Amino acid sequence: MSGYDLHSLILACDFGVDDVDQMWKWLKKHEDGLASIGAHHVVRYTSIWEPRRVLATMGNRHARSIRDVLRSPAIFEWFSISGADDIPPIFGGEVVEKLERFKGGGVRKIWVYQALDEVAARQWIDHPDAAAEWMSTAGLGAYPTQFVGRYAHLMTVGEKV
Amino acid sequence: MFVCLCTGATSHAVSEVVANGAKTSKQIAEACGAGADCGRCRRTLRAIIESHFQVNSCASESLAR
Repeated sequence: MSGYDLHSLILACDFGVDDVDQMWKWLKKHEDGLASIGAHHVVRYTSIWEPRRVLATMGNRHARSIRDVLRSPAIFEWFSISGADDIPPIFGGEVVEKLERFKGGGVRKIWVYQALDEVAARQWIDHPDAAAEWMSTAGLGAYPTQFVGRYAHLMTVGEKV
Repeated sequence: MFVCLCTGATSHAVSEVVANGAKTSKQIAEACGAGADCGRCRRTLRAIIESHFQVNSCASESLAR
């Protein structure tokens, strides 16, 4: 949603949560911890198929070291409070493009995130027919299945009035 | 995708280790460190191993036809 400019550092992950409301309360309570690792926004989407599955994205102010952010106690505790014993793979990248070319088809926004560590294949954007092939590999290995959900909450971090 | 938060190991790095012969999460940990610390990423490591052999087995079947 709002708050992510081009080249913002983004962490994204979808995972199962025992109690979504409790997780969100915990996040608000530990806002300082999130701010200390450079977070400026956390956005939560809720799956339309699985109520306890969420997609969370976190925008960071600086890419000082993505590895320092990932191994910070706040991230581990976030998963622990969510009830996730196993830590899922996390996407780390930056916003490289915001597209509006599919508006005619009812798609409101497409944001392209490019991984910091791997060259993302984005051929399907220019050749949408290839999307079917790309999607067929979702859910294999480290890659999660497609997430279809609704925007639930936006939390602005570190802007207390 | 980052799979091991403790070491910052990526799925790309782990996949290379698996392509080079690692068949267990222990062997992956020995080769690149992923999963050696807190161990909470081992399920993902096993998924990467399974996916590697699944893809390779499909490729072998296609070649055999």
